[in-house]
Amino acid sequence: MPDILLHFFNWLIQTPISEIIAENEVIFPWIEAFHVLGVTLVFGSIAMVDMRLLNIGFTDQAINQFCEQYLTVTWMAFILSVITGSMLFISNPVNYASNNNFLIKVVLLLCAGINMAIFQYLYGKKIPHWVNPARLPTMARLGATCSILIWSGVIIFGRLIGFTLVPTLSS
Amino acid sequence: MRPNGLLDFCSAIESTPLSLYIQSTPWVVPVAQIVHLFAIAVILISTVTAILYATRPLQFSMSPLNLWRFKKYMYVSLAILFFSGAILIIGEPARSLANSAFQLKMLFLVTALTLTLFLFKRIRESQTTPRILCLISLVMWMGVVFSGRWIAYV
Repeated sequence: MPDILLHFFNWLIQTPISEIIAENEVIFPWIEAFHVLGVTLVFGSIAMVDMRLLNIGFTDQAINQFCEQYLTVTWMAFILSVITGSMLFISNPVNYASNNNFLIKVVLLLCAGINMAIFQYLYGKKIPHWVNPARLPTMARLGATCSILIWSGVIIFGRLIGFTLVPTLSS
Repeated sequence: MRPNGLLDFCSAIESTPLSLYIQSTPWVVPVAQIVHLFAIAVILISTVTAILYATRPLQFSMSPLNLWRFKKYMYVSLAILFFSGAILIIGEPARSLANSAFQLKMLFLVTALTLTLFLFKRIRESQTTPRILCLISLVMWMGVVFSGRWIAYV
């Protein structure tokens, strides 16, 4: 790990908020519980959008409307996940940053962002006109497949962190 | 709640060949927990969809036919949830059955399931559903998630 990051994490771990989260017996598990809620809701709502884009079910519903109503849930849950995930991270930054499963999860989150940006760039303006096409362009279907795989990975590696990291409070 | 009978029962499960296999195979519990999480994700989004359908905020649109799909997803996910949960219980019975967070989780689960199925029934019969019922149903599922995570800390 680069020295600059190590210094930053060592400073972070000494901040009052880090100490409170790490040492309070109730706060850490509650943050974790809300994080699980956020991540499962992100996955569930994104899976719905991806299924619609792949024409697996819900084919009688307009794509733009169907996706929009689930993406509202996705964004709310994503904000919850980012806030709680950051709080978990600052409680023990050095350990998290040295954990391979955590690093894979972060890379997957970056991939999810890139995947979404590419999708928006290629099809953002066309989505409102996709009322009910029989089949979407190959790149759109590829994007949806990547999205569901990436988010599955986020769940899998996120859960594996708990088995490979010495958590703040429990074993 | 840890009566002696329950602890004896946990000890009996712990010494079964299946439990011993789970205890000695490191990948079983993580895989079961991951599968458990995926099932929870599907159940949560199915419940959220039913609630959005019943309360119709922001012009939420869903055909009744599609809504029944979510009921099917929910049944399949529940089966997966029970199966993966059973593996976790058999692998570590005392950590779950004798754990107050687990007992609370079961209470939340039964209540959440009853309310959600009632919600689907009301929708099927085209009856209006009180918003408070939707809210309680969602809170109960959140209780399932929260108490599930708390099992590790109690």
